[in-house]
Parts: sequence; C-alpha cells; structure tokens
Amino acid sequence: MAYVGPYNLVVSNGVLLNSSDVFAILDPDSGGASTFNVALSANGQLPASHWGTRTLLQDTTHNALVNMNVTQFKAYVDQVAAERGRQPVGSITAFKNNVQIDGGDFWAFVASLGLQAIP
Amino acid sequence: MGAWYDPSDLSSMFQDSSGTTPVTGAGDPVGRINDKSGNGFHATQATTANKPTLRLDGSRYYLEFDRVNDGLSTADSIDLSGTSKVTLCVGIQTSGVAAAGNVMEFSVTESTAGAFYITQPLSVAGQIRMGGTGSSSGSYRLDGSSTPYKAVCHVLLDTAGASIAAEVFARVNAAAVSTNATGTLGTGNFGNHRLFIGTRNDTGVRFGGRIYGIVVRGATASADDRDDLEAFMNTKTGAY
Repeated sequence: MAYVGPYNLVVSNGVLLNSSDVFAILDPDSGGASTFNVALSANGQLPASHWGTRTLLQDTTHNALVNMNVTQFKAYVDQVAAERGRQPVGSITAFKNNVQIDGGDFWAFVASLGLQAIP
Repeated sequence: MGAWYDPSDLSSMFQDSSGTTPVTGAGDPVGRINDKSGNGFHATQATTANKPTLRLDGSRYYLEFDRVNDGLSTADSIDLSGTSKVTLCVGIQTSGVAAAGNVMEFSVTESTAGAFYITQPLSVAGQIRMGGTGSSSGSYRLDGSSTPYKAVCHVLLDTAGASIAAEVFARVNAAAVSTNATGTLGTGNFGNHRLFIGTRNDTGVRFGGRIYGIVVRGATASADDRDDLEAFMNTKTGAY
C-alpha cells in the first residue's frame, strides 16, 4: 500500500467520536480509533476544544479526504469497512464537514488555527 | 538481558503492529521493529498516526519521529531487576527545535525507581540528558548545538557507584560528558519496566528527530567492548 504525507488533521471536540469511528476503519492497523490524540485549545488548557494528529495516509484515503463529497466519502468508508471486516459507521457527515487538513508543519498549522497544545 | 533495534535492517520492521506487512522502503510507517537481541522485546505502535516513518539519509536508514504523536513501546516489561548495571547506546539526530522529547525511557517516567533515559530535556535545543534512577535520580547533560546534529550517545549506569562520576559514564561522539551533573543514582538494581522509544509512556514528551539505532544491555562491558559498540553505532549513524 502506498502512503503519502504526513498530513496534519484537526477536528473539533464535538466530532471527536465520529472522527475516531471513521479512522477506526481507515487506519490499516488496529489502533485507528486513537488517531486524534493531540489535545488542543486556544489557551493551552483543558477542556480541549479541538483534537489534532499528524499522520501518513494511504493515497486512496488522502484522495477521499480532500476530493470526495460527503456522499462519496461515506461510500468509500463503507467500502473500506467491508474490505477490512470492520464495523461500519452510521454517518461520516460530521467528521467530513469538520476536518481541516494541512501538509506543512503541525505546530505552525495549529497556531494558524488559533490553538495550542494542552500539555 | 536487553534489546537491540536496528532500522538499517528492513527485515526487522513492519508497517503494522502485528508484523504481517513488511516495511519495503523509505516513506513507510513503522508499526513494529523487532528486537534483534533474541529476547523478543519487539517495539510496536498500533495507531498509524503515531508511527515513526522510515527514512533514508544517503545510505543510512533511520526512524523519523515527528514531535507530535509518534512513539514505539515494548508490550512486555524488560526485567533488569537482577542488575545494578546497564549499558545504553543510541544513534540519533536532534531536531534543532527547543522542545522536550524522549529518545528512550525505561518505565513510564524517569523518576520511577529502576528507570533510565536518554532525553532532549526542557525546552532548549541541542541538549541531551543521560541518566537513571535507583533510589534517586542522577544524570549528565550535554549542551550541544541548537542546529540539528548527529550523536552517538553511549551511557553506562552503575548504581553501585559512590558518586555521580562513578555511577554515570556518558559519552557523545566518543567524547566523555560530565557536564551539568544532577543528583545521583542512589542504590538498588534497575527495574522491570516497559521500554518507550520516542515518547514518555506513549502519552507525551514526543521526540522530534532521527533514531538510527538503539542498544540496551543489562550489564557493563570492557573498554574494548565499549569502543566497539560506539563504533558499531556510528556506522549506522555517521555522527563522527
């Protein structure tokens, strides 16, 4: 499988569960549910308002994230779930409409969003 | 007892944590690097976002840690409770960024009894701190260049020593380091802990930089053997 990246992804805290459910499918390995694991907020203190990650992506997943609409992305995630024998996710809309993706320095990206890491 | 991780040996690495999909070359995520010592302390990571990436530096392979969320760890504890002496040797390249990051740590935190570590401490670029914890913690710190540099770090720890100078023998690029001493190792053998690579307890203190190799050995060695180990690690790293 071909990988591209790494890419930085940030989601709002309100879609963390949906994001985790999506990546439990999209991560080729078993730990995808823990993908969004960098807690972020405007002041660097709890509670986290956002969650970030920096990850290599399979080229098909990257294409799906940046080029597909919600309907197409749902079909892609369902296809991958079936191929891998994983529990499908009911909806991906919240995640797909919320995720922000960047290919540069993670910490510069986070700062550009007005966020910082929570130690 | 100990462990040996060698990113130059592609056959020892896998993209997935279960070891079914081999690494094929630079650009692959590394979800598992096998312990070549024969002791079975393979280091793994099941979340792809948290995997280091295999890279190529000329002819030398290394694991690239991203200072965000990368880390590997042994599933099993390495039992070094029968010894007061440990040899550590790593080949690294620092990130040149002022941010704390663990190259490796034995136990969930350096203050745990029986722990040892090689770390980029605090928030000053170029520092490397090497030490351990018996009944107390002791270390030396090298204040290196703030721009990225390669280092072969070789540390012998002996809790039977009477002072920090007798307890911690640290060298970077074949030169002794006895600067910025802190504390002493105290007494007691080393512990029975998991080994964390590039992170503290896979929850933070993420290393940003390159790892060219790691050797951990629950014993000390002769001067000739020490020189051989440094030279071997330097062939992997190209530090000097």
